[in-house]
Parts: sequence; structure tokens; C-alpha cells
Amino acid sequence: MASWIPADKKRNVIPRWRDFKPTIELGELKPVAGTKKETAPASPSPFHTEKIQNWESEKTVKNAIELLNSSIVLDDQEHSLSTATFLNKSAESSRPLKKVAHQIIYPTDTDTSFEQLLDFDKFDIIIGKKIQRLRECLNHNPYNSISWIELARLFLIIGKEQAAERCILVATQLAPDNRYISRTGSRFFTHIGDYKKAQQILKANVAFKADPWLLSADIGIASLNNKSSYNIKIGRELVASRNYSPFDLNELLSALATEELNSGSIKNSKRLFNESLINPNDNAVAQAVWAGKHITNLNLNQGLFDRTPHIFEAKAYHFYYNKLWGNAYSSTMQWFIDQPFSSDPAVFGSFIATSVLEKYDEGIKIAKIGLKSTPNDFTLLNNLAFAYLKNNNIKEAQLTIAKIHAESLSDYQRVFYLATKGLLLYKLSQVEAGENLYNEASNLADKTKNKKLQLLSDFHHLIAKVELQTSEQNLLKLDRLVKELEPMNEIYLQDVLNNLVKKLNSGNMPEA
Amino acid sequence: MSTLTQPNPALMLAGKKLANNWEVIDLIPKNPAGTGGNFSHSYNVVNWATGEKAFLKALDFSKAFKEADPVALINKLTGLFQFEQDVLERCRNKRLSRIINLIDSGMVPAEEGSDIPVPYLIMELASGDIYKQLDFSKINHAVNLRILHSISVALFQLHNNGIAHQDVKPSNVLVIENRPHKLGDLGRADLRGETTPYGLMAFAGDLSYAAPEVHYKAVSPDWVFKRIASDAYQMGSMIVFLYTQLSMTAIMKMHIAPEHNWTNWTQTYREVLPYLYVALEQSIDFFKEFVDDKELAEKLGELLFQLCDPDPNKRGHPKTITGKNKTISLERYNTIFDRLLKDYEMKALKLKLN
Repeated sequence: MASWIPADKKRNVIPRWRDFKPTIELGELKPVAGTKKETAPASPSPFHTEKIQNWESEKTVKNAIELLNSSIVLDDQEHSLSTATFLNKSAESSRPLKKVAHQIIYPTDTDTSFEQLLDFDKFDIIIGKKIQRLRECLNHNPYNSISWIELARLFLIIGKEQAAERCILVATQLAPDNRYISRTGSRFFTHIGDYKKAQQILKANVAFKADPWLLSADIGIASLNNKSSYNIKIGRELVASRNYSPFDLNELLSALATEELNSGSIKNSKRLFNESLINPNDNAVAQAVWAGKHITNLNLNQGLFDRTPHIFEAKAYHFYYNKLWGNAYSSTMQWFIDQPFSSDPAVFGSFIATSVLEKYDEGIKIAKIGLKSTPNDFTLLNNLAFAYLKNNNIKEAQLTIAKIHAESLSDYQRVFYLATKGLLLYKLSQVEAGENLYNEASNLADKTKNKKLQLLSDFHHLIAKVELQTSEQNLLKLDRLVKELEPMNEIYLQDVLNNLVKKLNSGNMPEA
Repeated sequence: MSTLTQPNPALMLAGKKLANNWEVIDLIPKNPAGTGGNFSHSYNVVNWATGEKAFLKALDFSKAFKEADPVALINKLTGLFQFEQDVLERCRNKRLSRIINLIDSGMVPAEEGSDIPVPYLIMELASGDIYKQLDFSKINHAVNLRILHSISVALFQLHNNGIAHQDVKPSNVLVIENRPHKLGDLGRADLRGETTPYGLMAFAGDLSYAAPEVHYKAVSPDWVFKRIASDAYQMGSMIVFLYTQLSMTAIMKMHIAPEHNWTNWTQTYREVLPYLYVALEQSIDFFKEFVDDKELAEKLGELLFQLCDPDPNKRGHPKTITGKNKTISLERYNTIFDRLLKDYEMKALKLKLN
């Protein structure tokens, strides 16, 4: 059986690591409001004044060029526009001047560099091209720390963790005081499980104790490591100082709220979560959606979902819990493009595709791409094997199952592993052995006192049985299990059962 | 008697005979001539003994009398004029071949009906600045490379003599008939180890062509990394200008996110540098798009990465800026531009012969 991140799994406020361009667009790289200095307005530059005079007395291309350059540099929008309009129309104007003039007159984003990663068949080619381009850029511009980070991200997506680490180390050495570099560097080391190094990178930033974006990451990473950050007090002080905008504080508030929730202080946690939702980013909203399972009446309204950009993770879960499977799947795919190195969207996407929508080919592709960056991820391997089995590709399923390190699995994971292996044996017509494995899975779930898991295992066992041989009795049992599991947040099973019944009625299944 | 009622003597020099056989021909109208000081006027002059034509820059004190503190302003103008004359004399004495030549200097004494003398400088005559040579509809690589070579040599000559130009821009690159281009307007220059009128300023030239550290107010205290680095950046900016008619600073500004540009950035230069490297790369990509010779575009792009590095401590040729005794020197660029020009001419010749 396939799995995903259960709702009761702990979630922490870890920085997102997306492309540089969307990160800028989301406003996460603005200087924090607390560092704003009051400066006297600059006196007009005598050169600029003279260029304006020249332009006003004679509208020539030369005067327009001089004033355009000066106006762009000195933020004189009035003269930027007037000279750009002149140069855009002038027959004497050069191509680059016309291009810049056009950009000034019609300031729309014409960037088309973002390639559609959803084309799974071309995924490797697209990533390969991007890597090649970045390598060329870095040959010329080796001090570009952001390109090193971008390269690291691409390496991580294709599972080259060591190459990614080298790039991250170069970037953090080149620009230890840049927020984007520090946050993404720490995100990388969180990904590979080196929490100490992740926190070191954040602390090496000179602005660490004054920048809520860095403190929130530190608190989130400590929490992920089941520890409490030493900087919670400083975080609280920053919040109390009222020097920062609600947006600058949203992740910090969310991280502090999670800390309060973990320590059982629901009231404080609710207050902080609600404050974090005044002007949140997608990470804070996703955190609040997660916390909503533990705290009632958080200020999560539709408006928040509509106005928060890149809110794919939160939307995916939101749609899922509202049984809008198609929407949940497309949001998960957007989340996956946004964070392709993260196993979470790949896990959730492969789960929805395989278990809910029964799009096994899609589930296989997503899981395979997800496995590039996290090749040993049990959930992804298990989901992939399950998708192969449902697609009747027994050989690939066997190979995938063989890659799972069964010895290192937790009891929880082992239940899924045994159930998937049970299905494999059913598919190999070793019904008795398969039944034994399913029973073993159910018993293990019972032993670990996980009722939901036990019922889920039984449900999948019955599905396997029915798929092999239809039985009214088993269908009734399945119906009972669906009803039992529904209050436990396993809301998709009714659809699975309905699909099964449809298939039986259409004669796609063997009759009893 | 009010000075306002007096004719302005600095505008009355046409037809005058000056010392050393110079005769003033006519006043050069100001606005079409483009940028220049507000307190000076330009004339064509001729030496009637030798027939040499030249350019005269006359200091106009009369405007100063209309200002709030005329004494202070006259004092300042005199100092600036004297400084420019000193720098030009120094360049002449050192025989700096790519710097506009100071031929003579003097003063027209106050005459009847006027209380104001007119100091002047006579310099070699240029036929205009490089705007005259640029054909915006068609790139002329040979002309561009010749200009770049001349600027590089001129700056190297200045730097070798402890002078930083500080205002390298198209209107200060002068076209000399049948001879290489020369760099003019040394009024904003700074001298190493000496007190100069603009020595205390982070940057004295035209801000449209200034390096990013100037805009972010993060100029190094070290003379080389403040002044020579600034000239090196402006050299790079001239490469961009010749192909796009835009300064590197203007293009970079268009590629920097609003929250990171100098108008809005409130944190340290170190923190903003990573974003400037991204903007530099995008700006160079923009530049390369408009150089129709792809091989040349790559080579010039490489030079731009070196000359326009947003970190002045990393600016310049890799062989001089790295290592123990790191410094910024444009010497290697003289050879590079010379080679690029010869290679291009050879390539053009081959194409012609084929």
C-alpha cells in the first residue's frame, strides 16, 4: 500500500529553497524593516540637472541617451519615460536602446527562462541544460554565490548530493552574510540531516540576531532536531520590538507558535499562529494548515489562500482534505516544481496519483524523479513499488522492493513494507504467502497500537483479495472499513472502493 | 555700478589677440556641445604664427557674482581651474600621449568697462566626442576597439603617474583628426598622495557611469581600490556603451530587484553583493545579445566580468588582482584591446579577400 506524510507527523518552519527569481518576487529577500535608516534626501546631481537642461533645449538622440542613462541610475522616472518614449520612436535609435526603452514604457515581465519541469520525460534534459548553463556562467563569474546555490539545487534534484554540498560550501564562503545564501545553505544541510552545520551557517551571518528570517530558520531546524533553540528568547524580543513588518516576522511567529504547540501551550500557540497569518508567506500558511489539526479556529480563510503566492503545499493538503482530488494533485505538482529536491511533494504526488486517482504511470514518474534527490527514501520506494504492482509491472516492483533496506525500517514503515510485499506475492499468485505477509503487517500495526494503520492494512489486503476473486462478503467488509477509517482522516478510501466496484461491474475484474 | 549691467567678458573673447600669437576665432555654442562646466565657455582659436588651430576654455567668473556667496564661489572656481591646469601640465610634461594636450594658458586682464579678468586654457583641438563617430544603426567593431584601446592606454598612462581620471564617459573621449582618441576633462581627477579639490569625495564624476559601490556608499578607503577601481569600472562601462549606448550602471540597475537597488537597500554592501553579481551576469548577457560577432562578444564579455566586478577588491585582470601584491592595473588591457583590434582587422581582411 502507498503512503504519504500522515497528518500527525510533526511539521517545522524550515526555509523554502526555490529558484532565486521567485524567492525575490515573494519579497523574502528585502532588507528587514528594522534596519531602515533615515537618510537625508540627496541633492540633485549637477550632471543630471545639466542633462535635463540639454534635453529640454534640444531633443536629440545624444541628449536622450545621456539623460536616459542618468535617469535610470538616479531613479528619475519622469525623464526615463520621456527619453525612452523618444528613443523608442526615433529612427536613429539603436536596437539595445529600443529594447530598454520598450521595457521602461511597458514594464511587463517577459522572462521565459522557466522551463516546464512537469514534462517528466524531458526532466533530465532540462536539468542537464540548466546545469551546463550555470557551469558556463560560473566559469566567467566564479564569485556569483547565487549561481553556486542554483547549481547546488540542480545537483540535489538529480541526487548528486556531494556535488551540491561543494557548491553550497563555496557559496556560503563567498557570501556568509547574505540572507538567501544562509537560509538556502542551512536548508541544504537540513535536507542531508546535518542540523549542526545548518545552524552554524545561520549563526555565521552577521545579521543573525537581528534578522527574523534567520532566527526562524534556526528555531525550525532545532525543533526538527527535537531540540529547543537557544535563540527563542531573541526571537520573542524581535517580535516584541515592533521594529519589523508582519511579513518579515511571519515565519518567526510561525516557528515560535510551533514551539509553543510542542510544549503544550495551545493558547499562546494560537495567538502566535494568528499573528503569523497577518501577512504570511506560503510556508507560514502551510504550517498553520498543519497546526489546524491541533488548534481549532485559526484565522485560515479563503482570502488567505487566494492572496498568498506559491501556496502550493497548503493548497494541496487543503484540497485533499476537501476531497478535491484533481485540484489536490495539480497543486501537488506545482509544489513539486517549486521544490523538486524535496521528497514531500514527490511522496504526496505519487500517493495521490497511485492510490487515489489510479494514474499509475504518473505515480511511477513522480516517485522516480523524487528518488533522484532522495534515493533511499522508504516512502518513495514503497510508493513506486506499489504503483508498479498496480500497473502489473511485477519485475520492476520486485527490483524496487529489493532496494529497500528492510532492517532499518521503523515499525510504522515496516507495516507498509509488509503490505506491499504481500501484494507482490498476490500478484505472483502466491496467495497464501501474500496473505501471511498482510496478516503480519496487520499484527505489527496492532502491536504498535496503531489502529488506523491496522485497518488500512486490512483494507488493502481485502482489495488485493477482491481483485483476485470477487466476494460479496469482502466488499461488505471493505465498506465497513471505509466507514471506520473515514473519521481517522483516511478520506480517500470510499473513492477507491467505488472505483473497484465500478471495475467489477464493468467486467474488468475476475468474477467469483 | 552693478555687475549685472556689465557685459560678460568671458563671452566677449571672439576676435581678441592673446599672448603667444593666439587669436580667438569664435565662441562654440554650449548646448549642442553637450556636457561641460557651467562656469566656462569654449572658443576656437588659431595661432597666427604657426597656423595651429586649438580650443580655448575660458573661466566665467561673472556668473559667480549672482550666487549667494560670490567670494567663496570665485575662490572655489579659481582653485578648480588652477587644479585642472596643473593636472594638464603634469600630463604634458610627462608626455601622456592619449590625454588631451594643454598648449598654453593665460589670463585676459580686466578691461575698461569690466572688473573681471578671464583666465583661459588653450588645448589641442578635437573634432568632437565619440558620439560624432557612433552610428547607432550599425556596429563598427574596428572603431569601437580603437576607442577602447585609446581609453585603456590613456587610463594606464594616468594611473602610472598617480592620477585617477574619475569621469570616463562618452563625452570625455575625444576624437582627434587622423590620430588616436584622447581622454579629456581632467577637472574631476584625483592625485595619489596629494590634496585635490575632489579628493575627499567618494566619487566626483558623473553618477550615471559610476561603479555600484559608489551608489551604495561603500567606497574603499584605499586609494587604489577607490580611484583606480572606479576608473577600471568606467573602462568596462565604456565597452558596454559603445555597443548598447547604455552605461553598465544603467543596465545593471535594470537587472537589480527594486528592493536591492541602491535607492532602497539599507543593509551592508557585503550583503547586497550576491545580488549584484547576478545583475552583472544578466547585464553581460544583455550586452552580448547586441554584439553581432559572437567570438568578440564572448571575449568582451569576459573583460566585462573582470572590469565591472561589483567588488572593487576583485576588479581588474585576474593576474594582477589575485596573489600577494594584489593591485588594479590596466596595463594588460592595452595589449588585450590591441590584440582584439588586430584580430578583428585580420578577420575583416580575410572576409574581404574571400
